[in-house]
Amino acid sequence: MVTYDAIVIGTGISGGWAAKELCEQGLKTLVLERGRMVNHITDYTTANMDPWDFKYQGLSNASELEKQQKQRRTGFVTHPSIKHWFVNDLKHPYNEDKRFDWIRGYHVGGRSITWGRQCLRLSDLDFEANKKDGIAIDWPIRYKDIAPWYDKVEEFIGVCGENLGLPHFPDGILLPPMDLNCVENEFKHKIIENYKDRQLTIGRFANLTGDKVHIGRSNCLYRNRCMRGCPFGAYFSSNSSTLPAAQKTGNMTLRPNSIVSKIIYNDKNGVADGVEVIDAETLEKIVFRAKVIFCCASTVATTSILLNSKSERYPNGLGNDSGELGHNLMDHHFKVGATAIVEGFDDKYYKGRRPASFHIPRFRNLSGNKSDHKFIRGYGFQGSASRKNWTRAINELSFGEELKEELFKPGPWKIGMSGFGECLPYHENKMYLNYDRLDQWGLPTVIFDCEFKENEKEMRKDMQQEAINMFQLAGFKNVKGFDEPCYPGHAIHEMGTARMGNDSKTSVLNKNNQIHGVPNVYVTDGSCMTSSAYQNPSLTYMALTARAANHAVKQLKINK
Amino acid sequence: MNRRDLLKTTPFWLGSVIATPSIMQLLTSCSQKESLSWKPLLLDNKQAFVLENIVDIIVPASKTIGALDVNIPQFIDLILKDVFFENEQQFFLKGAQYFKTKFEAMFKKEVENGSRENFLHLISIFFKIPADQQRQIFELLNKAEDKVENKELYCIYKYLTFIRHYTLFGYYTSESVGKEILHYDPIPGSYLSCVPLSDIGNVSSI
Repeated sequence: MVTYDAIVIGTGISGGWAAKELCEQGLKTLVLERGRMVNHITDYTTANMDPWDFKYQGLSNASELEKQQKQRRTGFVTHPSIKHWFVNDLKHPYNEDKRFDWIRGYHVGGRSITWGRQCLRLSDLDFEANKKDGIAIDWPIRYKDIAPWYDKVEEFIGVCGENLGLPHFPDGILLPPMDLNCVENEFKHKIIENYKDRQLTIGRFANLTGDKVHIGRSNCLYRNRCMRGCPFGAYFSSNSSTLPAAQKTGNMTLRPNSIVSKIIYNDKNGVADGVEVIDAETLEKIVFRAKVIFCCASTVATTSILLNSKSERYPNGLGNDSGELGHNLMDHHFKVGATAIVEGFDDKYYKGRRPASFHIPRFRNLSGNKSDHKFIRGYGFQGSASRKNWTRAINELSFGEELKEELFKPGPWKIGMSGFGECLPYHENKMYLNYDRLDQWGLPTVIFDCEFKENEKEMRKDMQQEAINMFQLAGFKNVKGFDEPCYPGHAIHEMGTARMGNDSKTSVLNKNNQIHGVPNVYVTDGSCMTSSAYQNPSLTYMALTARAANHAVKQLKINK
Repeated sequence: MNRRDLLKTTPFWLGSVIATPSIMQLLTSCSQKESLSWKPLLLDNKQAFVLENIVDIIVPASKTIGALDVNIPQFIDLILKDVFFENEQQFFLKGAQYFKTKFEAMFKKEVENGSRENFLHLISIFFKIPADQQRQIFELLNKAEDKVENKELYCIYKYLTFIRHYTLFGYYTSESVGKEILHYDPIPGSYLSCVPLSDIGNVSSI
């Protein structure tokens, strides 16, 4: 049997970072991925396809959709250009006491290929919130603990955007921002005129701009096809960036088609000394041993592995002394905001397709004192303005030459934005395992029991109203609010099921992302989150992973 | 106007127009029987012939190519077979049947003998209606079939709006239109956030 220094479970946004950091610091590292291999560039099969290159010009056929009924709930991931990055729900079933949209892909790179690329730092407003509000438990870290790691991650992945100098929206190490278009600029200036408490900026995206060199990658060419995989490596993914860095060290063994069923806890010496893997192709069960194990399989998958890792010492799942493992499941809530039509820019257009939206950082409940609203915490907006295309004529009955010629021209300017709101950690929002319904490898399936509650619902009312108000005050026309049904999971920011905390009685992980009581197992994906904040979370997972990996390397040196 | 009022009045305004004899009908009643130049996958030849006529009326050739030039009837036949679930196919076929019956009652001849003028006349009856009635039609189409009293009207509009939607979709996402008529820029290289429209011309195709 081969023994490694480290095992990393998962190759997504967190696993890639664990692999890079551990390998670069000299650890012989086995990186396990449950899905298929994806080679950077050559496996981005749809990257250069135009609508007419797809069999049905981009429509999805009925029999294919049957295989992805749950993934399809998003409304976009089953598009033929990207559907191969998302699981077949018939092969990978899960259960719902309450509806939960578990949207995921099984392949090397995971959701780092398809992520939204928005990179927003958390601040002390977020890290201190649970303590101040008396909600759940306190984060065991503060902004100063993670700030240098945010720096390190941003420098490596490349994030374009604009620093605003706001304490609750910390500045980063940013590449030159992408530009707002004419209508977005108009909106920005109307917000400056109308409000003192908020501002609009271009979002911070992990797409390359400017002069800085990122090895093996080039600047964004504004095709806006990121989710298909970028042949230019212009946005950050594990495949374009962290895995090649790990590979370069010669210390990485990457093993696709390797489904981790459990982590093996050694009751004698009180540490985890390996993982059990099922080879997805041969169905062979294999054990790999290592000194340190990083769980980066994504929130729900990592928690499933831990829950299934039972031993005499941990009969309810590895590190589950607190009973919190699987609980406090969170996701952001969104799909609430407004749309409008903007007049006065009919002679203006844009060239290129910017893969970035504008952002209005949080402006509610910033004082950190008692809430001025019917809800605590806050939300930000993400949106964009563009000119309509032929689809503007769908809900009409016009026909003939005049219609045809008219639709060759760009239509009116439209603008829209959705809020992304914080979701509180509720103990009763949870996932657990179903041993009565096993998957094709004989492993238990996941059951979700999670819902948004009063605080989120009250926040949504404010999100919609504020979106409407901002557009109306800007003088935009045909302003319409929307508040569409939004179920947990849909934002694909699921998190919180193995939270960090100071006390092993109420949390699963300590301040270094080690399992309380099992110090050689680190959990650094979304499951570690103690609160959700409102920000897109991937940047924080990467920073926490890099921080934890460096902690692990130091510990190994001390223990030598 | 509520739903019941619409369902009471709509057959009236629609029926009254259809009942008016048309001069075109007399002029075209002895036109040649048309034949189809392609083999449909799902539709029968009559249904495909009607589809061709409707598609050609929605996006005709003029100084620029039309829907027939980019094979939209074939495209709609293909997606009906492969892309859509069976209930959606059934809506289409039911609507096609109602439309055919309407056509034959109005022009007193088999649908496969219909002329472009006949089809234009009938399409105009359904599509050239005042804005408030258009709104009512789209409200009607948002309902489930079993909540609708006037199934004929409902199915014909389901059928016609489906054809209209996928004629536009197929045409504006076709290679010829996408590359030769619309603004096609596969690798922009830079983002110019605010340029005169005249620098770009037509709407971007991708």
